[in-house]
Amino acid sequence: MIKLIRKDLILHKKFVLGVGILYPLYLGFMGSRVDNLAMLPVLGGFLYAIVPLILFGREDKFKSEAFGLSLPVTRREYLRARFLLSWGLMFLMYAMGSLLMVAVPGARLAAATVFSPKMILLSLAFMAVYFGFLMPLFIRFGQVGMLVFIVALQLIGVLLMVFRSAVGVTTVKKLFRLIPDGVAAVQSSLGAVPAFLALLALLALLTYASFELSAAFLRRKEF
Amino acid sequence: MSAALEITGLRKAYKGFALKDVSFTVPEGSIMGLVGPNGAGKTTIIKLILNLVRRQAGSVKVFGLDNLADEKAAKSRIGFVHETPALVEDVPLKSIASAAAPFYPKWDQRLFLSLMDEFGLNPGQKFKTLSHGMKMKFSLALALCHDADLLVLDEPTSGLDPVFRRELLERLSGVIQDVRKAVLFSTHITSDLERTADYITLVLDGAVVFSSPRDDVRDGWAVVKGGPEILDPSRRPLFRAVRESPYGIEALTSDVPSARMAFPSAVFDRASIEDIMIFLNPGAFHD
Amino acid sequence: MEYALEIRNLSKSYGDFRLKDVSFSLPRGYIMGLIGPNGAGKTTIIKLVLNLIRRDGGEIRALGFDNLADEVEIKSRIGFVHDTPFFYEHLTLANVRKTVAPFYRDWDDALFRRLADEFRLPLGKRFKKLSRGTKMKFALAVALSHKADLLILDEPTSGLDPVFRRELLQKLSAFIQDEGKSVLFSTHITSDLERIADFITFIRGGEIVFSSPRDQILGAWAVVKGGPELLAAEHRALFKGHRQGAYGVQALTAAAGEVHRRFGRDAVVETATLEEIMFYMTKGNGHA
Repeated sequence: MIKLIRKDLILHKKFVLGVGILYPLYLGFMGSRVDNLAMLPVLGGFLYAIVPLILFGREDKFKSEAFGLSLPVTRREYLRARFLLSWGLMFLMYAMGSLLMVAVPGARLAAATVFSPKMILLSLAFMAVYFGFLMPLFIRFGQVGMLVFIVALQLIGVLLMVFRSAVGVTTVKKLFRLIPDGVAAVQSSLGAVPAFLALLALLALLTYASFELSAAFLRRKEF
Repeated sequence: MSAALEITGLRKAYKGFALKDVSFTVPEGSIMGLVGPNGAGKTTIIKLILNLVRRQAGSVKVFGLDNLADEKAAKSRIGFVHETPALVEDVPLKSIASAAAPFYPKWDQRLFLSLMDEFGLNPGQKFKTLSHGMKMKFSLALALCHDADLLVLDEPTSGLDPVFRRELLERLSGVIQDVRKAVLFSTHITSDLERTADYITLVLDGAVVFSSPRDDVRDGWAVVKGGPEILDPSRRPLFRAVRESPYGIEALTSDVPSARMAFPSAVFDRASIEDIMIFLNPGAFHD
Repeated sequence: MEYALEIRNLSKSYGDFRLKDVSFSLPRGYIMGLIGPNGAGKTTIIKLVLNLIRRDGGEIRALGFDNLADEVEIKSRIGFVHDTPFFYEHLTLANVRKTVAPFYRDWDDALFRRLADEFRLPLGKRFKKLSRGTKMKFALAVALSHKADLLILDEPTSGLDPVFRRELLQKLSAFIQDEGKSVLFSTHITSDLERIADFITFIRGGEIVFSSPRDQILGAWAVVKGGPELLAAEHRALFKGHRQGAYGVQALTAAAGEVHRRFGRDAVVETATLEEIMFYMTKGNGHA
C-alpha cells in the first residue's frame, strides 16, 4: 500500500507539488473574496474532489496503468492505495485552502464559521459525494467519460433552470429544501452529536460502496 | 522437471477473435519462443499471464502459483516487458525505477545502473524523449534487474538492431544458467529463435499449433514436393496443408516418417517456421 | 550510370552525435538496404534526404536534382513510408486518399485502385481501426500511387510477422522491377535484405563502413570458428572482430582463403550473414 502511494507520489511529483499546492492557494484566495458560506462545501468540495481524478487521468493519458498493474500487487490493493492517496490529497488541499480563506487580509468569512464542526462535516460530505460518485465513473469510462458525465449533469441543471417556470418554482425549491430540512429534522430528533455521527457513518458507507463499485469495474477492466 | 509456467485450457474471446483452449508449459531452466502471425493471440496470452486481461476459462500457474488466487506472489517472480512500453512520460527514468524498486525484494540498483549504462540510457532522461527501441531497452533493464525467476517478454527484439538483439539473447541464455529460472518471449524474427529458444510454441488464429522442443520442430515438419499423386484424397490425412505452385504440388507434413513411406520418390525439405506459417495461414497478407 | 540517389560528403552534428562525411549512391532501378545499430545515423540520413533537418555540409542529389534547390520537384517524386505511418486517424482510407491525392501532381488514381485491390485494403474502414500491417500496406500504396521514382522506407517491416514481411517485400520488389523504380530501405531485420536488396549500406557511429552490392558483401565475408590459436598476434590482421565463448573463438574475416591456408582443418569457415557481419564489426572486441 505504502509502496503504491509512494510510486504515485514519485511519478506525479510535479503534479502533486504544482497542483496540490498552487491550486488550493488560488482557491483559498478566491474563497476569501466571497461571503457565501454555501460555496465552500458545494463548489470547493467539487474543485478539490476532481484533483486526484485528474492525477489518475495522467496515467490514462500515458497508458501507463498496464505497468502499474504488472507490478506484484492485486487490483484491490492498487485501488485501495488510490482511494487513500485521493483522500489524503483532498484533505490537505481543503485544509490549506480553508486556512487561507480566513487568513488572507480582507477575508470575508470568519475562522469560527469556516472551521465550525458543521462546516467541516458538510465540506467532507460534499467531497465524499463528489469523489465517491466520480471515481467509479472514471474507472469505468476513463477521464473523458467522466467529463462527459459532468457536462451532462450541468446540461440537466441548465434544463431544470430553463423549465423551472414550467414545473413551478416552489416544487424545485421544495425539492432542494428536503436536504437541509432532513438534516435539521435528524439533528433535532437525535441531538447534534449523534446526528453528526450518523452523517459520518453514512459518508463512510458511501465511500465503501464507491470503493466496491470501483473495484468491480477495475476487476473487469482490460489493459 | 518442474514447470516455471503452466498454461492450461486458456480461453478468451473478443469480437472477431478467440483464444481456443491454449495450453503449454515452460519448464524451469529453459527459454520458450512464442511465434505466430500478427493478431494470432500472442500478446493476449502474455497479458493473461500478468492478469492485465481477464481470462474466461483455464488456468495459469507460475511456479505452481495460480496467477489470480496468488496474484501478488506470482507476479513478484515475473520480470515483464510490454510490447509497447508505456510509462509516465514526463519523469526521468531514474524516478520510474525508484518507484518500481520497492515492489521487488531482490531489486539490484547497481545492476540496474550498469544495464542502463550498457544500453546507452541516461537515468536523467525523460521517458517521452526515448525512441521505441530505447523504451524497449529501458523496459528490459527494469525487468532484468530484480532477479526475476520468470521473464515474460512481449516482442523484446522489435525495433532493435541485430547487434543488441544478439547480446540480449545471449543475456537470456545466461539467465537460464540458473536452472530454476525460465524465459518466455514472443518474436517475429525467426532467427532469434534459432539462436536461443529451447522450445517453440506456434500460435495461429488463437490456437496452439505446436509447443515442442526446437529440434523436434526442425526435424518433425517437412515440405513435401512432388507431382499430382500428392493430391490423392486417401493420402490427404498425412498432410497439414497442400498447395499448388508453378513447380508442382507442395504439402506440409508433421508426420515425416509416414509421408516418406507413402511418397518415397518425393522431395522432402525441412520446413522452417515461416514455411509452416505460410502453409497454415496462406491468406494472412490479405486479411 | 544514372543514379536515383547520390550523397556526397554529407555531414551533420547535433549534441554528441556526428554524421561524418557520408557518401554513397544508389543506381536507378535498384533496392538498397540501409543497416546499422540504433543511433548509427540511419534516420538522420533519411531526414536529410527529405530535407526535414538541415545539413551542415555535403551534397544530396535525388533523381538528378539537388535536394535543396529543387525541393518541391524532388518531394513530388519521392515516396516516403515511415515505420509508424501517420494519417488522419479518424478518416476512412477512402477519405485519406481524397485529402492526400491533390498534393501530388502525378497522382495516379487508377494505380491506387489497382493496388488497393491487390493489397485488399478496406477503403471504408477508419485508419485507426487497421492493424499495423494493413497501415503499412496502405502507406505503401499511397507512396506508389503518386508515381514516386524513389521510395524511401524507414523500417517498413518492424513489428510485422515473417509471412507478411515476405509477401510485402515480394510485392515491392515485383513492382520495382516492372516500373524501374528505386528504393532506399532501412531495417533491423537483415534477413529481409538478404532476400531483396541489391545493395547494402552499413553505417556505424555516423560513418559508412561499406556500401556495396549485396552479393559482393555476402561473398566477401566469412565467420571462422576455431580454438584460441586464432587470436595469436600474427593472425590478428586477418580478422575484423571476434568473440570468445565457452566453445572456442569465432571471428569475422574477409580473407577466408588465407584463413583456410593457415589453419586448415583446425578452423571451420562459414559464410557470414549480414547480421553476423554487423555484430562482429560493432562488438567484435575492438578490432574495427
